[in-house]
Amino acid sequence: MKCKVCRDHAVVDIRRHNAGFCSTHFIEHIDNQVAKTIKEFKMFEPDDRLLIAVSGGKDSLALWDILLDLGYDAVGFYLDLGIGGYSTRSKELTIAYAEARGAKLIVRSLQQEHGFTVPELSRLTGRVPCSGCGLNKRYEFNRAALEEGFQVLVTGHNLDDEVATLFGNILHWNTSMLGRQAPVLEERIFGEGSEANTVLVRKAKPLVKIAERETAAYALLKGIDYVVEECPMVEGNTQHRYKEALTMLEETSPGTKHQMYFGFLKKAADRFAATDEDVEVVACIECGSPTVAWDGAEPRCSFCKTKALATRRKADGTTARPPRKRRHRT
Amino acid sequence: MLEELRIVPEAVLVIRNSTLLTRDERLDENDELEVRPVLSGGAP
Repeated sequence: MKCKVCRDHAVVDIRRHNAGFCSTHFIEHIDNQVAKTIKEFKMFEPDDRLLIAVSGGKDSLALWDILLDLGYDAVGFYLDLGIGGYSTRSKELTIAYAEARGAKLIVRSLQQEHGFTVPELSRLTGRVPCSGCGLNKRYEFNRAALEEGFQVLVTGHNLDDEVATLFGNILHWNTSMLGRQAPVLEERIFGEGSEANTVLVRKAKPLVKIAERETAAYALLKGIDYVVEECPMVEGNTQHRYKEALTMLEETSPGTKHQMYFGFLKKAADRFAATDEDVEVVACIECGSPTVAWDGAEPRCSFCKTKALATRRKADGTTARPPRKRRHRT
Repeated sequence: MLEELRIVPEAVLVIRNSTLLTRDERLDENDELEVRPVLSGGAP
């Protein structure tokens, strides 16, 4: 196979583009695709301060690399989730990447910030590990962005991530989640005028047009050392099963993932768009994050409720029932 | 090779001597290959 651009030997093929690329032109292609995505969805401005959530995995490190190459002021944020050797390795690789690039990295630890790790949180609350992990990461990323004065929080969610999430939301008709699925989530402000206060930082996903295989190829070709092994807590994860199913469809019909996701954005997303008229949104009395008001109850966000439960049970020495085991494919 | 191993090509990278291979690449019997899965289960 020849490179589409220079006719040299190709090392990566992108079937939905009906193209092969040599190393140089593949990297250029990915950089261009990300630059176009940022512009198309008006994700952020050249002088915005970006906080990029990095996990040590291929997507977040590749994205950080691309944003730095494109000239953005992109600071990394790593949250140590306390998942044993996996967290140790991912943190080491993230720090090594930052040092090699001369990039700024903020590192925080869930244990130090809140007194528990992701595995502990699962034992204490009964939440499936991935659910607790996601809740904590979203909370901490937003908190760091607010505290450190960043305009935009950027994540490495790629095309496979987004289309698998879309697939799952359609499968279960999670209409509220469908209403919040987009490449950019606007900031949420409480109050008006001089009392206006940003509570949720603008979020953007510049890799939404890049397939997971392409971010992996990018990281490899750029010599970015990333955590290859899977998180030990994702066994049986439904998101992975959806990705496998969609990838099989993509194999037989290239372009399926792109068509499904971007077709949704173009033709259906606005039908599910959530509005504040649907529910009353108020500030959490603990942390100020937006949450839903319930009659007669003091409003607390999911994070604060979960943290309170975990802290209480840890103090009592009690745990929840073990999370329901995922059924494995036979 | 991937077909024999029942691996979906879109789900992996195939690497030989630190070089990526496209699916049309010819292989030799003595090649040492890494077949690296690319689909993650967790968030990025």
